[in-house]
Amino acid sequence: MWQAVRENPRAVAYALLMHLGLLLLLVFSLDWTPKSIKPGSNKPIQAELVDASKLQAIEEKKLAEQRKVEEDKRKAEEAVKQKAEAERRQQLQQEQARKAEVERKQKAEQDAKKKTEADRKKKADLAAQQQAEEKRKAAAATKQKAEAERKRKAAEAAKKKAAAEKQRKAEQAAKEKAAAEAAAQREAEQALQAQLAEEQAQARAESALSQYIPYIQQKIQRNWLRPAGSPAGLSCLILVKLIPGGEVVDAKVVRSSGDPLFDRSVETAVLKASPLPMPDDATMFKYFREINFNFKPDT
Amino acid sequence: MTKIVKLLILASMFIAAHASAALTIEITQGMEGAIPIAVVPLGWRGTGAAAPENIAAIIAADLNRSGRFESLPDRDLVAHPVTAEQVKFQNWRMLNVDNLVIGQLEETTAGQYSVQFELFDVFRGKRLTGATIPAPARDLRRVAHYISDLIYETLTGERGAFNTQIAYVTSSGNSKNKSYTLLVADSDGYSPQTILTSKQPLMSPSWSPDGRQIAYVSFENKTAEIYIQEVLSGSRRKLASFKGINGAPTWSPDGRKLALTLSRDGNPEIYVMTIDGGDLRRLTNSAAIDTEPVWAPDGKSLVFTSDRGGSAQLYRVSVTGGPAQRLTFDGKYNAGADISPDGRKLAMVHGEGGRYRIAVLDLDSGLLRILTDGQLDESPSFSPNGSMIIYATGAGNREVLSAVSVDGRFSQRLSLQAGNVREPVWSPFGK
Repeated sequence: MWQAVRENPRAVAYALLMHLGLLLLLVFSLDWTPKSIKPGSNKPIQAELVDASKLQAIEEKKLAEQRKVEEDKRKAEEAVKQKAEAERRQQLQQEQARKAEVERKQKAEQDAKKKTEADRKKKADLAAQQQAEEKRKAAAATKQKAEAERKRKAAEAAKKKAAAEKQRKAEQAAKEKAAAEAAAQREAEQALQAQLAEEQAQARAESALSQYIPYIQQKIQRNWLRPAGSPAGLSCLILVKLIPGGEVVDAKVVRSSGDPLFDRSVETAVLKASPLPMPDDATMFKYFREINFNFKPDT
Repeated sequence: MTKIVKLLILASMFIAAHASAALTIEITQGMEGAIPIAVVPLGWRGTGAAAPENIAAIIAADLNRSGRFESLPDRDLVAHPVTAEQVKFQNWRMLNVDNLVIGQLEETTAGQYSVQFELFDVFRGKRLTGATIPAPARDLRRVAHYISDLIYETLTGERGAFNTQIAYVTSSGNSKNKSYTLLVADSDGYSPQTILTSKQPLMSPSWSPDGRQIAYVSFENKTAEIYIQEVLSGSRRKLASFKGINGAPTWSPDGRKLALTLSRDGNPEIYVMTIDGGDLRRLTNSAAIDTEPVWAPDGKSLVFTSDRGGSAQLYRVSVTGGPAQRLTFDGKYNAGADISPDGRKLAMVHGEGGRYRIAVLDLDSGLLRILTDGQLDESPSFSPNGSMIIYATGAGNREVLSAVSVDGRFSQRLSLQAGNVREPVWSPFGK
């Protein structure tokens, strides 16, 4: 209770002021009561006999006095009434005050209760909040920790993965390098072999040529009728296309002698000589697919 | 043999350098010869049983005479196609014939004909040329020569000179009753036409550059005089009749002057005279005989015969005169020159060892080549395309007309005229 007071001095101060107020109210009410009673004090009436006029006068006087008594009576009644009314009012007021006090007290109690409840609740809330906060913090911490762990794990995994990848790459590179080296070697070998093959082919071709060029040359020369009357010093280059078997499929003068009859004789010689002698080895044909013949008489 | 070895080395190098590049083979040997050609007798469509002229024979003879072609004898013709559709090239390839001529002679109306021909490259299987030419009967030989020209030009790239003429002089009769005739005939010697007949010698005919006139020497007035005569109309005029010799007229390339030999100043010298006779200029001045002038194609110089060196040799002199330059040194006798149309060759009578033959001097190289094999050949004259030379040659106890290809490979006696044939001269190209 005391702690509650200490903790809510303002509420206590209001409560004290309220009590003081009620006390003062009660004091003033007590002062008012004797004043109201004063006009009700009975004083003895003084009577006197009088003639008619006089009586009249007396009557009148008596009437006035009666009236006055009545007035006084009415006034007293009025006063009593007023007093009762005042008392009633005071009672009402008192009742109201009491009621108010009760209400106040109830309210104060309620307030206090409320406050207490609020405090409790607040406290509880606070506690709950704190708890929640702690929980949250704990959860956060857990979460953080979990996250950190996850991250660590992820990092570790990544690191592992990277390492694995690196290794894989390194392995692959090594593999590739090895493959490339192997390929290069193979290529080199192949090139060497190809070169050898080519050299052999060339050797064969040269052999074939050495064998067939004179035949070709002779066949062309046998079929070449140098035009009589052509000027000396003419020469004509003709490109001849052959198909396997040596048949001439095209003969085109690529450098004219300038003498139509001479050029024509060259074309005719090639066409007449078709088919040209060819090596039996069909692979040799590529050397004979196209042949330039340079017709250039010695004389 | 060494050539083949070199060739092989070259070929090998080629292959080593570029295996895919075309091989090059040198061809240095080949038989020189005339190009074989088959001229199939033309198909005949007309009223007569046979064609009025054997056009194919004329063409074949023309081409043969050029020395550059050799026509297939008729008996070797495997087929007688008339139209292109009927030609089977394989047949002609088997015969090794390079070219084939076919055609048709049609009588369109009485005495009027149409000659159609086509020329083929046998090994290429390609038509090269062809034409259809209308002609009256009297012109059929000329049409044949014209076709020969077309074929020759198509195959050689050189203008043909078959459809041209020759002028020459014949003499006949014995010493008591001699007759001289100036004639003009086709280049193959056919269709001779008399230009002039005289009891006295006619000599040295020369064609004007347009082929319409002939200048010649006539002794009809007992002395040598120079005349100019229209070939077609026969009208003529005397140009030179100076004291002494008036001889050897030749027309200048521009047709405005004549070079001639005059002895009016005592000794035969070379002169140039305008054809209106208005101007006469002496070009030579020597104690020897200067004669037989001929014009260079550019008209700037003349070549003539002179014995100023002790024997007859050829000299060149500027048309403006001045010192003459000796051109021939081979042989004891070189005379009667003609200059080739390109100005690079000189044909002459070359006397050596008692024989007189036709020779050609290559002015560029200075090499002399003897073309003929006669004993007494004379008066060489170039064809207007320079591919042939016509000349007179002794045959038995008379002289006849002969033609030789300029390389000397082919010579042929032309149709035999009655009497001795002298001094043939080849006309310019026909107009």
